Amino acid sequence: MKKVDKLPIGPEWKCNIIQVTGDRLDDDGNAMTEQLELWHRDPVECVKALIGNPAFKDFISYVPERVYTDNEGKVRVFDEMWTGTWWWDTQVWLFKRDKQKTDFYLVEVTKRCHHRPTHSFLR
Amino acid sequence: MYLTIGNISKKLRRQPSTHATILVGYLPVAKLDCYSEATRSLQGYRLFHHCMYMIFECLIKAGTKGVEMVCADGWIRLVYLILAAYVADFPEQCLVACCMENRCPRCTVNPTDRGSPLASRLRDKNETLELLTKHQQGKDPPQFEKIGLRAVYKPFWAELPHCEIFRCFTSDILHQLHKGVFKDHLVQWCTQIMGEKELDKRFKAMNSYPGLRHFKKGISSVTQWTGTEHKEMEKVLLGITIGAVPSRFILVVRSLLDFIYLSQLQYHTTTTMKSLETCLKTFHDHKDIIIERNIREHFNIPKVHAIIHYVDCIHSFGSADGYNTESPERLHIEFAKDAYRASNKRDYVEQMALWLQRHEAMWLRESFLIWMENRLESMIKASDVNTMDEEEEDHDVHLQVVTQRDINITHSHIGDTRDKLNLNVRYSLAKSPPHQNLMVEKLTEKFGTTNFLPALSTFLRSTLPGTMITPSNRDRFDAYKQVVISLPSNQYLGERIDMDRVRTSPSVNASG
Repeated sequence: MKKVDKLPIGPEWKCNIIQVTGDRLDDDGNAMTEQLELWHRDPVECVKALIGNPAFKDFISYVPERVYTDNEGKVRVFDEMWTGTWWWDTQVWLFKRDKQKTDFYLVEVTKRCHHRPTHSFLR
Repeated sequence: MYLTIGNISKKLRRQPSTHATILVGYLPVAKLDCYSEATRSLQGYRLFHHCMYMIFECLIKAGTKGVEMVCADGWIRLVYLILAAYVADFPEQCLVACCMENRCPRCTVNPTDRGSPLASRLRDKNETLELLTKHQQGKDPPQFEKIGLRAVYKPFWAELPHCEIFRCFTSDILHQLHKGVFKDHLVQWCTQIMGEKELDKRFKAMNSYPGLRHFKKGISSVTQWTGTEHKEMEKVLLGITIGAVPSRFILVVRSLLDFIYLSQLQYHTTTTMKSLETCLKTFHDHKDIIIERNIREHFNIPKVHAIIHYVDCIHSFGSADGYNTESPERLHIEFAKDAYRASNKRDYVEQMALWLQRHEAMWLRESFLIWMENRLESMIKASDVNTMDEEEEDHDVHLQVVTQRDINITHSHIGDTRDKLNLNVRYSLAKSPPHQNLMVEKLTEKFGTTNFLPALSTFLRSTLPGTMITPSNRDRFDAYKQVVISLPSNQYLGERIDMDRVRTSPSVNASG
């Protein structure tokens, strides 16, 4: 266990104590309270750990995409998160807001064409 | 409370073993005995938002200014963290949206209009916050009641940048479709129209067929409805209703089943989304048959309403397998149940966190070692190019041998058809045919192949134009019981390789 604890760890855990004061009174006429423990980690650190993990290197996308099955862009594909409209719209919004600060690669736009066979059977 | 990022492919996010989803916190379970019963639930909602605020407060800055992060490919990027999707069950969605549970967390639909196919106005963050503030100041705006808000004055999402929380709620196929629309409603309607006995009888009377579950005792006695049971029943329900219910009701059944299947596709296109919309329309066009038959009086059903938001959701966030509730439930087993078991059950949260930290440390070390190993390997390879080339050649030759042998075995009796075959389609047969030297009459008797000779001739002519072989009654044939074909990958269903098993056994009448 000691050796395990010496290994580098992921995002650290923190504990916040939350004191809740209720509206009921105890026998002495004081408001009753309850103490709660909130164990959590910093979500920013969590994202750092995820996005920087080399194990995911080949499975990560950094830019939104609009994917079509045809060359004219008539049939759009929706599968991964980055092919949806939310990411695209959010990226455009960010770019418009921070024109000065943001480098252009953030809104790099790719339009890929996939030529894949279509099957329509289900199971 | 779990967290993941949309940058990672959904294929990885789905597998718990890849650790692509991180536990960010254990929310406390409070008894709240210090509150009187009347205020307890509302205080619980407020407490939840308070805890969530404490965890996610740092996202306000990280979403506005951005944080520089080292990415997996070695580049440093300025990353803006924005809450995009919130995967939760219905009560939790209402809790987050600060709305009553007879409302929709996404839109402002009136509780009595939830059966309508018309889309209502979506909830708006600023409007909601304004109403909450007014209510807190004692102004009591009528709109507050109208859209069914709860008096939670500091929702955790209030300051999160670019986060339209009401659009973050994702569709939940397991609870809304399989358990909700299918089991709680569709199966109920069928039972009421056909009667429990008839429905059971028809389930029993289904032929047993490989790949389909045969419900020997019908379905009314099923007590454990797991996801698998739902999926098995969905496969046969349509066939079971034919002839026992009015044809318009069959349209209802079919459109809902189609909707359930289509929404599970792992690859959507504009076309499949149109089909989804069509299914929904067919359902709404014909659902009045259920009222006509006095089965229901109205359709104010939260789950029937929820499915009108599916198309929108897939449009925004990609296909629904990227955010279904089955994967977090699987994670829950590891992160909560296993961790709890490892503790001494007193002050367990701290121990659970430590347990998890240790497990993660070991996993980190493991993936680091794998990474090092790969690096070492590629370094060795780079320094010795010659050896690598030879190895590759060897490999190629070997592969060719395998493909050729396969073809020889399966098609030796027909001759050289190698050019015609698509080499990607692989199949396997038993080593030696279990039935040998059968006459055509025997084939018909054993396998019910009434049109065998004409069909074989057609097949031979189309596969081998110019062939001299004409099968006749005097020929004898070897027969296999089954052939397993590996199907070409289908992007709608993800990347797994499916095997299709074609069996030759004729149908056997069911005992029921």
